[in-house]
Amino acid sequence: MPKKYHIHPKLMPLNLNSLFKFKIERGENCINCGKCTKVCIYEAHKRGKDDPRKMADPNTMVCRNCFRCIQECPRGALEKSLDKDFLNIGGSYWKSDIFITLWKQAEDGKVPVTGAGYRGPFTGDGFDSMWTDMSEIVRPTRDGIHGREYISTSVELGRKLNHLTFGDKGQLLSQIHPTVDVPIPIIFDIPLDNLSPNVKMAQVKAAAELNTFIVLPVKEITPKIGKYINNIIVLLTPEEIDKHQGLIKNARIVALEYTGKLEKQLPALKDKIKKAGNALTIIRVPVTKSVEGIVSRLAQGGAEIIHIVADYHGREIPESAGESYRIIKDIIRAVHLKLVDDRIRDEVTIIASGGIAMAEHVPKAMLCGADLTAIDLPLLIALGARIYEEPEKIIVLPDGLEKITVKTVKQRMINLMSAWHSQLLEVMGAMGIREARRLRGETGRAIFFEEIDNETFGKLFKKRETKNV
Amino acid sequence: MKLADKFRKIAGDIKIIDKVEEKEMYSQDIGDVPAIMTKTFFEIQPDFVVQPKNAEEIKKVLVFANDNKIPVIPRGAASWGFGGVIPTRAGIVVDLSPFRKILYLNVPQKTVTVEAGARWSDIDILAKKEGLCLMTYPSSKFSTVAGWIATGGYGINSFRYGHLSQQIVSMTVIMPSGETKKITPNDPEFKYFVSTEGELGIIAEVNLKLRDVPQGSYPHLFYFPDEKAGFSFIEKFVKIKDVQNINANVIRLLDANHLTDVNQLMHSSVFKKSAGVLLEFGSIEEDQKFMKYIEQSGNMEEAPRYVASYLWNERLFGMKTKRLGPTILASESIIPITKAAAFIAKAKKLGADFGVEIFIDSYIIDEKIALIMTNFLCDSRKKKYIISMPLVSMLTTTAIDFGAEPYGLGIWNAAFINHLYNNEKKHDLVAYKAKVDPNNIMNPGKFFGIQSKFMNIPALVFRPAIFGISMKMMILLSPVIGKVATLLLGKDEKIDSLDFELTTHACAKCGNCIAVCPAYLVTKNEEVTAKGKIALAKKLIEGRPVTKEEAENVFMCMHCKGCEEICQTNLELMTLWDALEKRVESKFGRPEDKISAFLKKVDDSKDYWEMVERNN
Repeated sequence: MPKKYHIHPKLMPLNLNSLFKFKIERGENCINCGKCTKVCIYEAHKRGKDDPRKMADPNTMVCRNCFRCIQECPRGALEKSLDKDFLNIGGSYWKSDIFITLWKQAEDGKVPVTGAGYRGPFTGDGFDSMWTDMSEIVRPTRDGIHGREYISTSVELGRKLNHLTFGDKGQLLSQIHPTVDVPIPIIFDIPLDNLSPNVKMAQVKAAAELNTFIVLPVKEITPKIGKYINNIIVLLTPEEIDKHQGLIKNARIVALEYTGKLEKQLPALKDKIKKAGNALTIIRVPVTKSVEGIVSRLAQGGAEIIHIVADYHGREIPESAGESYRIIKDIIRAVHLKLVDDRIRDEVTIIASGGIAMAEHVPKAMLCGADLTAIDLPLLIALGARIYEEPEKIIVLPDGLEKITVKTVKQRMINLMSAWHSQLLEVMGAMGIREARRLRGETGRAIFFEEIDNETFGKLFKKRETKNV
Repeated sequence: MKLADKFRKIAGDIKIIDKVEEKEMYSQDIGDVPAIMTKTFFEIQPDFVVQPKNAEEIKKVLVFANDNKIPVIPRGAASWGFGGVIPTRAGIVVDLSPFRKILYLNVPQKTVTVEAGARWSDIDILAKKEGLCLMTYPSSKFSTVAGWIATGGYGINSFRYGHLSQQIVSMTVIMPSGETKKITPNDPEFKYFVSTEGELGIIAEVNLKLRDVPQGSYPHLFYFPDEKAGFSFIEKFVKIKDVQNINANVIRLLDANHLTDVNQLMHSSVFKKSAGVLLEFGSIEEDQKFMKYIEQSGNMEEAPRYVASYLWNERLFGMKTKRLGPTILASESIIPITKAAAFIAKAKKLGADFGVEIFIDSYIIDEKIALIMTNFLCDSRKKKYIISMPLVSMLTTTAIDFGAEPYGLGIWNAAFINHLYNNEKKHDLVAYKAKVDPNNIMNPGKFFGIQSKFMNIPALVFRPAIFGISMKMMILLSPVIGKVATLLLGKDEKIDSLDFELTTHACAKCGNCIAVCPAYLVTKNEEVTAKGKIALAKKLIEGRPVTKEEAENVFMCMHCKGCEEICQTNLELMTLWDALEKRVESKFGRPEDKISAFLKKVDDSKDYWEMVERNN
């Protein structure tokens, strides 16, 4: 068996002003008895450095919300409340809880636990209305997710054959297409425009260390960054292909934005790229109402890899304002089922992006039918970025981020991916799936709330409700 | 060889305190008698202080004292102001304040066994967890059990449950010879150990009766045009209360001056400027019966419930008025209810002659008598204090003229002994003392005969005959002496806010802080308590020499704010500690190692965590 893929997290605090979910406040009636220092296993409470007779301010950063200090304080002097700033960040999709979870993951690369347990809700919008079937948990794994049991998270990018053809003498006639392996089903999508150089560099280096890819517009690929061409997906327009022959020669994958014209030009463009080197080609298709039609046509037309790009909160881009929209989970399913109907699903690779915010969104997107996912915002959130959705999308990076070393920034992204990787292993182990590529479209291993809700209660209530109407 | 060293040889692990600066705390009590005066009369500095941990150790001390014929002075919280714990001829102070464990709470029998130094407040907290609570308790609830047995005995709830001695099941007493005796109220010897101020033996252990926690607290406050009207209402009520079966726990009278002071302390005008009678009941039924009685009595002016509740809850902070002083002087006596109003009128006139305002606090003890406190504010830092102090004795003398008994003797009231004990009783006491304490080691020089330095001439003042005549003369001449003194030295004005210096004077030295201080619990050193630190602050402010070791005690503090919470006089102690620590740090540096050793000791102490949990 090949060597196990492993990501190495490192504790990497970022000493910038970041947010806490909870604010622990020490009341005036604290008697400095130090009981909290004894009961807190996360060391949120310590005696003062300057004067050990007095308690230091609680370190909310490490608090995992177990409420033990609150319960045990002999004076009831400790109070815990949701932080006001915390409540303000996030919106309908990027909820404030997501930020805390990602920050914590970026901090140490561990899967965060919630001290007092999860109390619900157990269903919600989007991916939250989808449950993975963990029925394979029959016993604790013998030695944990990083133990002897072999679970592969790697996926293959590229065109595959529907079937093989052989000649009369048994010789293989079909030409096998080249593919590229990625050890995790996650690539980094195009970074934001205005990032500082250290963050840009760190993203590239992180992609390289993880041995995955980062999508970069061709103008961003400076000679310094070009060294990592093995892990870069070169994004260019059809017109730029001629100009960047050298780059394409070294690249393993290139990407083209979808335009109406592209469908016709595709065979010619692919030939051009093939002439320059061995790079695979990704077609990036923005998600609109007609996305499954476009994807289907591209697949029929010989596209190898198709990247469907929803907006930042996982929505379809409406053609006119006020129109209803689908969300990423349903979009992926629609695209997947269309390709299945067309009997071409196995031949192309589908990358899904937009609204992939948490570790569990990766296997869920794959269960819906994607081969792998692409992320952008979580990498910035790992650095303390905040996202406001209302009244319009604003991304706020923490002050002083440009002064943080590339090493620190990179490690936080690695940590985040390490935590996601661990969770992927965890979820796959529980589902009894040992290869990530088998997750794709495996809806038998998923439960969709709307469906079972309808199955269970539909007959009882839905009918009556319609009757009344 | 020094006595302390001699004792150390046989002491085993009895804790001995003999450093001069540490002993200083043990040469005074709550009373504001200038040390210069006590020092002139007596040898107030003990030879050494011991903190015994059990009866055996107390015995050892007594045997040693008998062998060497040196005085033994038992001491509790020192929250009684008549000099009962002040040594008169040096000797050994037996500090029973750290000897404070609650040994056994017998829930079915509703009794509790405690060590001598157990605090009333601690017993109440612990008992309440089992649905029980104290019967009669002192208004200084943070004082020690044995201390109150040896001195007072009338306090909150005594109207309902009688004198404290009626609630003692038994007590273990260590006789001056070192012999241990368990005595019950049926023993003829019992009376020799109640209110005898530690002159006949040391109380080591006490078994007390408790009662069920009452349903609730239902206080009422009624206003009366003057004390006379107040007392005549009380007189009527106590007569019918048995007929109509209305059981009040407490009946208390406060005069207009007292209520005005409370207003001033609160910076408000919640209370009416007239005399008030506060009554408290323990159940709705009692409360309703009482209200029916009030309806029948016609035109009564009652304060709102919250006002009555406030005053009721303030009962444990009787010395809060000291903030306005910073000194408070008081005369306490037990007087027939029928004479109370007349006495108060006379006392107020006497006060007016001396330019002070007398305020009254009175607890009704039973159908016939009341404990009455005539208090006034003054300033121990001023010259006029010299003339204010004898006023206390004049007030007591006046009360006695109205048929009162003094409430406690100590040093300063020793001259009133004939008014407390008739000849027969006195001879009985003297005979018993001679029998059990032939060497006269137990707290000598108090009411059995004050003895002072200089061939005993100064002590003549405290001889009943001489004292009585001189007091009578002064009262007679008070319109002249008082007015001249007031004219020359000014009136005593109330003060509004306290700076650090005034704070040190406003400290009542009541010892409440000692009862709740975790640092004291662990170090057993009074110097680390608020009381001790204020004494240190006073020294620093006055520019007296302070050693490094002594000063460093200020850092042995958990900053738990317990002292501030419990402070009688509501002093802003935390800011004072910050200032004091800063000052000591600039002078001697900060003893980091000592502090961390202290923290470790606290953290390792089982007693400490028990205290933390108890007050939970």
